[in-house]
Amino acid sequence: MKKTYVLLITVFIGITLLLSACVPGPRVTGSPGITLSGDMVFVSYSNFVYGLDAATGSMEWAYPDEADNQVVFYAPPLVTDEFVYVGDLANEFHKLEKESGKLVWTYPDASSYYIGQAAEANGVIYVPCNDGALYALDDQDGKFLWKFETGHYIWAQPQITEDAIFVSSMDHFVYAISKDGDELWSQELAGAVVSTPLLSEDGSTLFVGSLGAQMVALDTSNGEIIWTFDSAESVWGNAILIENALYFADSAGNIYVLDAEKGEQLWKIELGSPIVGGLTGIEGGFTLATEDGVMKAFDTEGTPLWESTPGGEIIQAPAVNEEFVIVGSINGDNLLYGFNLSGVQIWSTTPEN
Amino acid sequence: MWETIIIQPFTNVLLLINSLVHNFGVSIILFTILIRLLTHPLTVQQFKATKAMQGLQEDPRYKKIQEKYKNDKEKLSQEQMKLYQEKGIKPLGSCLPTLIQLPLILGLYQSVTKAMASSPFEFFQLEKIIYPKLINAAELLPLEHQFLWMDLGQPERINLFGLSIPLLAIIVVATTFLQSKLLQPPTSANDQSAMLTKSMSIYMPILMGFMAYSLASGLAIYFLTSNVFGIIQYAILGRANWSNIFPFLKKKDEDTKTGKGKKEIVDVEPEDIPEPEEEPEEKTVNMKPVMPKKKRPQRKKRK
Repeated sequence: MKKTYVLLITVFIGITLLLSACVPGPRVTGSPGITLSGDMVFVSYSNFVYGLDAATGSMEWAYPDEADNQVVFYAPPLVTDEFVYVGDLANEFHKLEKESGKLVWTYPDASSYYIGQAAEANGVIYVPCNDGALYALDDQDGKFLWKFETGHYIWAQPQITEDAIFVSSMDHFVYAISKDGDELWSQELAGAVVSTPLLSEDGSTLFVGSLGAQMVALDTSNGEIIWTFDSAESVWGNAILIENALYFADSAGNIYVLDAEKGEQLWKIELGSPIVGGLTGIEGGFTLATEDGVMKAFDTEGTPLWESTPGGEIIQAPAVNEEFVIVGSINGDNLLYGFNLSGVQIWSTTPEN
Repeated sequence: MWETIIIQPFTNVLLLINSLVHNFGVSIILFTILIRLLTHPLTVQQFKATKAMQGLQEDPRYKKIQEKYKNDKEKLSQEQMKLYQEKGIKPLGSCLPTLIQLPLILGLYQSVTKAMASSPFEFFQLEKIIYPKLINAAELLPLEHQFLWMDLGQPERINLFGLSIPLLAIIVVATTFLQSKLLQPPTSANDQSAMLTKSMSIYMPILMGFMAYSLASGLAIYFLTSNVFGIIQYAILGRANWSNIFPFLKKKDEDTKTGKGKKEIVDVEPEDIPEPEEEPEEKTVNMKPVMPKKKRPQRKKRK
């Protein structure tokens, strides 16, 4: 009898300990956030933000020094000349030194966690948060300046012009906000917006793809819809502009090329596999990753340039600079894969601190 | 397989409810009640089987077998099986309904988690499993995550007098304790199953409270609804032992039994009436076993 009693107590204590070990703060699953800047690649994943050598994938630094189960990073880091800015799942936003990964300041007062990438302009950091607010923080000391509240999560990076900040929210709206945090206009779309809106070169048009299977062009001065294009499935990823053509993909695996002024389809490619991360421009064309772990590159006419299969699941657009293409994969052999611009894989790694 | 058979339909039903009520907190409550109602027949079956097993443990023949073969486990189990067959009791009758319910309850938990997608990756996984003919994902998603004072995707805390208090976790602990206590059979302290149930009533609230404290409040709402439903279910089925919570009720019952109080009319099912005790073959109870006298071997006389 006593034995059974002791066994039962032991089992329950065991389960409790097991659960306490397994449960981080918020139970959110995500993919690595990757930003390529100069000769370094910055990755936020799980309990760390990593600074890696873009040429070799070797780790230069990791932040914080030791893993804390409550602190998890998935938001793609914002990287400026000297600093790295990234939010975590414990409702804190961090500014780090780019070279060393040392902490400069944190902003701990948001009421939810960070998934979206921040943006910077004129000494102000604009931070999208899962509490539905866009926070404006002073770059010097992380001091709160103002916040603009939307109706749901903000996962997209804000876009900034001289006069306004454009932010798309999961509440199905796109907002234009003044530099003081006041609403200039808002426009409702057919669905939630995950992707970062794209500004035209002159800043007069904002292209926004939504989960309502639409790409729209908005007039940045008043938010009015210039044109609407219906895609087959929802638009998850970022669009790109090459000359006067707008390139974007949907979750059915279609790549659309539209006349950016009129919204008319020029041509399209059907890949058949969902494209979640969107497209990234490269010299003479663009690259993308399908959800089933295949990297592809095409020229501006849609002719395939190269293909590679890192494997796993890829739900983010590749990060690109003048030398490298970096992509993050989950549930694959490794977390990160580095390619040269010809699509030859040069390294793969899973950083561990 | 698990995803297709359990998670996908469950998540779609949950989202369908949400498209009708437009409140995810209310949707979780309604969905939990729906699943618990669907599994109600299994719960009833489980209660009946447990009751029959408890009744059997009071049976003199059962007690006699326990005593007689306490040192011969094999024989004991054979005799027990015979008795089960004789009485028409299925030994797994109380476990089987629980085993069938477990995947459904696990599926319910997972579908609530799935619907609360809080990152692009989770959101994409959710969008992939939605039945497009049933639900307009573009219109419905993402779900509204505010319910009362809670963010359903975050662990719940309420600020009272400058303190951040996990109110929902405390309520979950209280209702889990209440539920476990109500299920505890009023048997002697030496009874093995009673001891197990007692220890469950201590550790389950701690475990559930810890989970409600650490996990998203949407899941804590599911725990709470499930507990409240369970308590009501026990009460309706007449299986709630209120005297475990209110000891004065026990005293009242005892008074009634000893004739001090007012007599109570109790509905007794035929299966609850103990069978007439059979004439024991050997009078061994409370007596020292009488060993047959052996003849002492006669010593050979040495010459």
